[in-house]
Amino acid sequence: MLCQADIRRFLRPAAASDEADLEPQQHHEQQPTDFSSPGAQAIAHEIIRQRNLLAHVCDHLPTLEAVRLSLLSKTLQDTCRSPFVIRHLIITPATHQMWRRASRAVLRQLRCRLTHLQTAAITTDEEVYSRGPDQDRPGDDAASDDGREEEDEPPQVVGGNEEATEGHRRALGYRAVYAKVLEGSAASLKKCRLEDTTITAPFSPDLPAPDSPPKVTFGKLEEVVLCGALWQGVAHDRRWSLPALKTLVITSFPIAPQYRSTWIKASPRLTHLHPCFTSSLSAAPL
Amino acid sequence: METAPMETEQRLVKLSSSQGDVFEVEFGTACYADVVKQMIDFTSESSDAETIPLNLKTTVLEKVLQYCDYHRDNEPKEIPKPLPTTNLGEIVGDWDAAFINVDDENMLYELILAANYLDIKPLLDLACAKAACAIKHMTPDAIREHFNLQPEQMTPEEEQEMLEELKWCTDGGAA
Repeated sequence: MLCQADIRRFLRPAAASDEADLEPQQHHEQQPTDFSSPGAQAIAHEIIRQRNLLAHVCDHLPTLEAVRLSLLSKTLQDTCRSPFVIRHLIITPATHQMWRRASRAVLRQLRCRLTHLQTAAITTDEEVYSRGPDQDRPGDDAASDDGREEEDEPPQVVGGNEEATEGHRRALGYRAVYAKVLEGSAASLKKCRLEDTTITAPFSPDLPAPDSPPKVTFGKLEEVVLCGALWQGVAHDRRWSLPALKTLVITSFPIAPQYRSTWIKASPRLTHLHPCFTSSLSAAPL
Repeated sequence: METAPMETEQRLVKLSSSQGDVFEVEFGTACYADVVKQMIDFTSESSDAETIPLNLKTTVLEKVLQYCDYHRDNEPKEIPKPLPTTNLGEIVGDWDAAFINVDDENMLYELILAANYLDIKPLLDLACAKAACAIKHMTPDAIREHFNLQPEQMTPEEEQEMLEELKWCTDGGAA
């Protein structure tokens, strides 16, 4: 059997000093907690150190695997609930299969936990067009969270036949789910890559510029890479403000001029705009 | 009087472990760790031959110095996140893979702490990647079994609640 000290030491808020080993009642009996005491501060520092080290390990894991570490123990569940542990959001077509099963309540909970993301890479494929957010949540509450809430504007889909329109509406539902996760980290997110690998015909929506004030401000987001048409309108539709954005890379598709204009208007510090058309309709490799 | 760069490079620095063992290493090796460099800068002002005490066990300090000595002239490869494979050799190169392939998993943990303490980011990254490799693709049950983790005291209700909360991201929750 492997040594017991190893990974478990990540999993427990460690006793930083002998005082940490005392039972709480011995420590605080009849007295308010003194968080300024050296003992309490030592414990707090040790917990933070352990949590940061766990975050370093989680940096190397796909987001779902990091979330799943909660299942190991009650202590780890508490640690993993800290918004400081998961710093990178990575969604792939494979993990999307699981994300789509997350109930409305779970998504809400995750949005509260994933509030300190620094980078995000979201890649989806044709699955998002074929199965709606409501379809895989047996037993979930009827009003499943397709990302829209009362204050959200309905997804706008322009052109195409009925089937294509419905598919696009489904995809926009998922986009909203993931966009909300990103918005939860609006204050910390630095880079993101938003990719849709499907082959979709480009469309040019006839949309007015948003006249209402920005809804979400990404204060540190410096670089965005857009691959595929699905995400092109997210800044417009969700009224994003991107005061720190310096680099916008648009690849694999011709962005609709209205949407490009919104990205530029929302990004006063934009210095690098890279429209890289490898092929207007090509799908990026998985 | 100022020390010439060449003299500085050849200068030897004494570092002692928490167990009292002293290692004499080249300045460049010692300074690979930012914290040690700061300590050297600080002690240089007071005394030339002062030994710098580090709160690391002898075996851990020896291992850390081995890493610093190699990488002072060989920049480590950046490790992609998340790990594309659990075979670290494919990602970090043979030397690093062999270095971090420690038999004693407690040593791995000690290295993570040491890298964090000494602020050696590439070593912290490497050791954390190794720890991540150990648990990547494993189910929680498999991780518990692998590391012989004893379940903590949890009521059946708490356990059920936890399983429900994470059902969506486990194989058991497959639709």
